[in-house]
Amino acid sequence: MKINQVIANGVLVLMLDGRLDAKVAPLLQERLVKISRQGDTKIVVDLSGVDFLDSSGLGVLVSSGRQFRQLHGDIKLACLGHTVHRVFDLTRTLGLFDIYDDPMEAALSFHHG
Amino acid sequence: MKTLLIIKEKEYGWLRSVFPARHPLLLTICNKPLLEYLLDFAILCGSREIRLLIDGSHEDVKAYFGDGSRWAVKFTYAPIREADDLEVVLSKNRRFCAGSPLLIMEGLFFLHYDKKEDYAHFLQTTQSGEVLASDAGRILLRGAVSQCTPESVGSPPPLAITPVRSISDLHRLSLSVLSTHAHRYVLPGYSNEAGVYIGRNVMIANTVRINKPVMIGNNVRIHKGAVIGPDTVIGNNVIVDAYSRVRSSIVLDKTYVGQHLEIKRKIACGHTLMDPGDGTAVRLEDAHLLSAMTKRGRLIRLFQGLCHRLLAALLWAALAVPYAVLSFILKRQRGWHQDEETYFVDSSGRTIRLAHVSIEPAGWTGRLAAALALERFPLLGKAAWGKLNLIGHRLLPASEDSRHTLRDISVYQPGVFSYAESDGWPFLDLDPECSERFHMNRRNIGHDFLMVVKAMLNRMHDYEKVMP
Amino acid sequence: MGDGMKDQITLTVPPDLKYIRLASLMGSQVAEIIHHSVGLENGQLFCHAFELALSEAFANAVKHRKGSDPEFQIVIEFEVHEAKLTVTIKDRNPPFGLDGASPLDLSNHPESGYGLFLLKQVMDTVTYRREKDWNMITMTKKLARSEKGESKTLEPHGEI
Repeated sequence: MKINQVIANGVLVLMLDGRLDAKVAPLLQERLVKISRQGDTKIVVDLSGVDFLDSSGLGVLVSSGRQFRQLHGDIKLACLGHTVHRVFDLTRTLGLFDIYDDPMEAALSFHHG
Repeated sequence: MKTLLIIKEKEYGWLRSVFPARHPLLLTICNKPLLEYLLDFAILCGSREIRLLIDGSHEDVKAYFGDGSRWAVKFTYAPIREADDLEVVLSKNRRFCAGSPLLIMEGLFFLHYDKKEDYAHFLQTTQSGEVLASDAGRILLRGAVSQCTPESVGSPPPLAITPVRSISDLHRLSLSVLSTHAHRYVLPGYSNEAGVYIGRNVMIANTVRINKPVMIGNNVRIHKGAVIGPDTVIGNNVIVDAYSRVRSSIVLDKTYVGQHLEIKRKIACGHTLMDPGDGTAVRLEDAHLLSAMTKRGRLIRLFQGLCHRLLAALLWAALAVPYAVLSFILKRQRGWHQDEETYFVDSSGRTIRLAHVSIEPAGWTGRLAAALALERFPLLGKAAWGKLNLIGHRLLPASEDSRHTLRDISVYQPGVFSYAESDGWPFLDLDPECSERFHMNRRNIGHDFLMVVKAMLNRMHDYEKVMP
Repeated sequence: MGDGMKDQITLTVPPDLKYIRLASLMGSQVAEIIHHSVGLENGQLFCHAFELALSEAFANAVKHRKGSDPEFQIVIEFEVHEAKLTVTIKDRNPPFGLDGASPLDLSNHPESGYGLFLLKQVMDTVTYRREKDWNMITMTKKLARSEKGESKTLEPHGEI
């Protein structure tokens, strides 16, 4: 899986491309830890390029989201595909995140407080 | 025109406690989910893309509505959070909302409209802003450019919001739609005459009286002497047993109405009978099943138990040789898998370890073994010893999920075969619990013997289904 | 396997997460082939179920692996039946209980433990058995064809 990042509306947007499964999840975990240590605790994760998510990927997002919120930040999600959405829905974790259909809008929302 | 349907859990939370078996948004008015009326209205307004935004789980809703292709529209889903106000919701759905006027329906309510009216034109001549509002919800237009001209202004078509906040609201609405406003909506079922709507797979005995207006859903059986209606809605997968009278009532999906019951101005749902007048509820099953059981004396029950054991022993003896031969062959062919599983044995939650066999119905040996129900053979021994019934409720594996099902059964009596199998489940799309309740109410030796024969004949007809 | 032969497809994979994609996509591909040949209702969900279930089951098997020797290979076996598609994941890890762990409390949003839960959610049946040294998780999904059986018309019946 490829992980790219950009700054949009002053907010770090992480763009994931590929499958977010048990092989790849630790890499994402590592990246998110690094980002939080750099002081970026308000980020957007753009999942438009993620065509598959399993419990490992979900677990990383849930635990990281919790950590970022403890640091007075947040992880907002954008562009969940059908199957990714389904995994969140089945595990009742949709309500843990602010979910947008546009990552720019998600980034902008951090400024609205 | 695109449509947003915004419905928050707090608006329908009460429905979860009253009707726990169904997603609140799929609760029906005249056998049509509440949400579907809103969808129909959106389509009448010219919307071809509709997005549902809810803050709770919606797998069940998605399973019903899918991608909207059934209505020739694109139906999508997006999550929101309880605290999200309208602006946040719009921001979260910016891409969806862009580039077209938006019809927003916020709240869970019943919408009165008339399918014959031209709502698309009405909205084209309406300014952006609030179209309709009440404490139950509102309808808004955004991004619309009114094409209002003096010629186009006429009297607005009928449109009103009715709250659905109690079972009394539900009852009143259902009956008023059925009796007075049915022509305004697209309602399910076939209708050859006004006031009567009948679904698919409906069996009605010829001594049943139907007093319209009546609506009957799919997979319904109405037994001899019953009287249905007037002002009655029968849902899907319902059995109304002999000589019962149901009027001014709603019988929701998967409900068994026992024999000789009088149901008037009630809502029957699963095991519960609710009074929309005062909100009280009683267990439907207890009313007839317990009375039937107390009538049947202990001696009779003992005799019936003995007959069950004898039948089981006879069946065991009849199948012993085929079992010995076919299980040997199948084990060598690796088409026979056997282990042990724990099942509930009564309503208190006591359990029993039973052999669990699965047969691969490949080749004539597998097919024959499956047709003879040989995977049940080890259970016949238990039935002969009186540890199990020969026929009764489905065997429920001892798990958390099954514990919920067990709680709904007054007197759980598992059998080697289940009554539901005698009715053709799982090959036929009917509710097994309903079927079991129906048969448990008529339990006697002759009936049980016939049902065992039927269950085995059904298997022979479709030998693929081997899992107990 | 005799008359009315059902198709069987087997894949043997080393217990290494680098093959998780292979295992998972194998599931969705087999499901896709069945969907296209039979015409299933909710074909996309059907394929996704197998993709997800295999990803979870394979990850679980790798996580509990005893070693990476060939004898500890993971075997994935599909069986195509008339009315269902079955997949069995076999491994030679120590035995484990499918229902052993305490039930997941979704309301507390745990950070792990969703794997087996998801498996049971998306598949119709999930069973575990131990045969000799092998753990076997068998998952099944019924083939719900998109054209339902004929609907009966309304007829008055005799005494029923």
